[in-house]
Amino acid sequence: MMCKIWAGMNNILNDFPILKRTVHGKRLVYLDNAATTQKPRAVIDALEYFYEHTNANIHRGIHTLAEEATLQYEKTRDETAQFFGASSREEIIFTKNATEALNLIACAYGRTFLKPGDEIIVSIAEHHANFVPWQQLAREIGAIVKVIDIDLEGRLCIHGTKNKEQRTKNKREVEIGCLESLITNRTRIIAISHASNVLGIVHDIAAVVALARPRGIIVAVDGTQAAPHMEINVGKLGVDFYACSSHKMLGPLGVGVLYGRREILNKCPPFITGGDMIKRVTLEKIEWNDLPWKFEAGTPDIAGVVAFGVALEYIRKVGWRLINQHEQALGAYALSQLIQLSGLTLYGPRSMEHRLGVFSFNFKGIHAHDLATILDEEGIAIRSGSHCAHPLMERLGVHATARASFYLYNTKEDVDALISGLMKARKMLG
Amino acid sequence: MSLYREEILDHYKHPRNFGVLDDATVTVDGENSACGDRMKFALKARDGVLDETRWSGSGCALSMAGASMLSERIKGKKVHDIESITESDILQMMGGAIVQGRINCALLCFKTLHKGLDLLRSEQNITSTPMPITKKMNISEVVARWPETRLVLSEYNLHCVGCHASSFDTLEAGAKVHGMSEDEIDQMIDDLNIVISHKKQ
Repeated sequence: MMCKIWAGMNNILNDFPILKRTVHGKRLVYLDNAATTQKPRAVIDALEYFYEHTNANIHRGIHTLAEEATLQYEKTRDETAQFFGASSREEIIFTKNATEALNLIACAYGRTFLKPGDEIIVSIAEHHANFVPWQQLAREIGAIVKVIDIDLEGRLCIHGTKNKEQRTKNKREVEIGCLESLITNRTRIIAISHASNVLGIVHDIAAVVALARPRGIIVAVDGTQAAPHMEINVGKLGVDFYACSSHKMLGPLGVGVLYGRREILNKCPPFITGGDMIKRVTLEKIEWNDLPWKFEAGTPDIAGVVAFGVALEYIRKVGWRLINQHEQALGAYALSQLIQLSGLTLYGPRSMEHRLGVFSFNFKGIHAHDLATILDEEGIAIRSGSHCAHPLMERLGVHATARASFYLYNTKEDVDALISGLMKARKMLG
Repeated sequence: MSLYREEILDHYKHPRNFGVLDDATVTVDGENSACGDRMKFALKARDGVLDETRWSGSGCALSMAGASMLSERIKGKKVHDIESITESDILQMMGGAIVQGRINCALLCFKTLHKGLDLLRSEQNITSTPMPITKKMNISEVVARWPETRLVLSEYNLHCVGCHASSFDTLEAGAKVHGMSEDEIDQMIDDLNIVISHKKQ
């Protein structure tokens, strides 16, 4: 079955022009998909088409181009709402990236509704984008940040009371442990990623929501890593906020998406202010615009949003069934090959259960940067470093890891290239 | 061409001047916090010459090879010449093929060394505190503080050390009384400063 899926991949490979290029004279093997994904021809064409035929600012002009641009922009909002299972288009806000979307939650919701002594729970496995805004918010208002720990496999500790401990860092007491043990009647927000950008683990959001919901705790999810790889239905998940990024799911750079539950967004003041987010301004007062425009001050990346709609359409056409089958099969193959290499330390689970094709590892004492450079010389693009996740790196006790991350256009040959590249590195530096 | 030329690999696998220096003049730490590369540079300088250097650390092949190559390059050289080494010299030393993303790895040795040179400079400034003795200083105070100056003063025929005039005369005034020129006075002040700086070492 694995072979059959890969055989059917030819059409998909042909859709991505960049995969035809070479790097250092070698075929490009792109395994840095957790950083950004490549774009199908349709998305590239959509950007070009917009600038060649439609380019105009939205929401204000009366002329034909402005009308067309507005229609296309707002149509993408409809498609995005549908794609993520939002109950209405008003719940979809376009931002410049997922980081801005997460900051929007911390600022618009957090600053308004959190009080000194309130508690925010984040996980140790967060990308800085879903860690720092909460730390900063806590600092501003005198709230407390608590941290969900990981188990030996790297999975988040949701239930139970074990591991609860205090540790002093920068003279601040930070409580770290199982989510259940961290929740108190002062807990207001749980900010958690849907999948780890380092370990590839898919977190059990349903379990988090089950704990949070009855207590009226807001659940804000960083879906940047998960959304490209699995069907997301924010309604079924029952989350209050869900942030993700266009460029990590075949769309252009410069566009982020925030889903927010309508009743919550309605209560929040704007995040940034300016044009398009107000109804009326007088010298004395201002009246905010309706959702979702209240949160979209200034001219957005209109072409980017329109082309993002095309990316969503592309994913829909390939279909989640095929994407999931392919990624699971490819991930399982990559995993089996990686763990066979002696001297390779894999961080995260050794099975594909609730796991994405994101593999962080260290190899033979070779520094991750050296691995990345040696692989690059073979045309293979991987990531090395701390992956904007210092707390997790510290928890794992490493400074840096190498990370290979896969997507729907990767093949068995890519895995094989990675493995032989690693063997070359071992020969050179090991 | 590979970044990992034979020379780089050789230095990485067989680092030169690796270790510690018990009698180092200064020892400094350098770190690339993002990737965890760390190193320590120990410098032993005397009379403006870097007599000895040792380094230690852990990190990627580029940062380690860079430190090893740099240590070979600076050992036994004049501190003044070492100070004139630039970032681009380092990149050239490493083969000039360093990609942007690895520049920090290659330059860690350079940054650490410069921290050391800065410290060295300030250390030496303390020992020779830009001319601690000036011609406006009182003779008897100078002799009381640095008895070793007595000999120098005698050589310049300032035998008034013990005489009552020295308790209120400046070095300059005393020297002039003995008919010394401005140049001779400056020379004497220099010699006095040298004598006290040597004593300190």
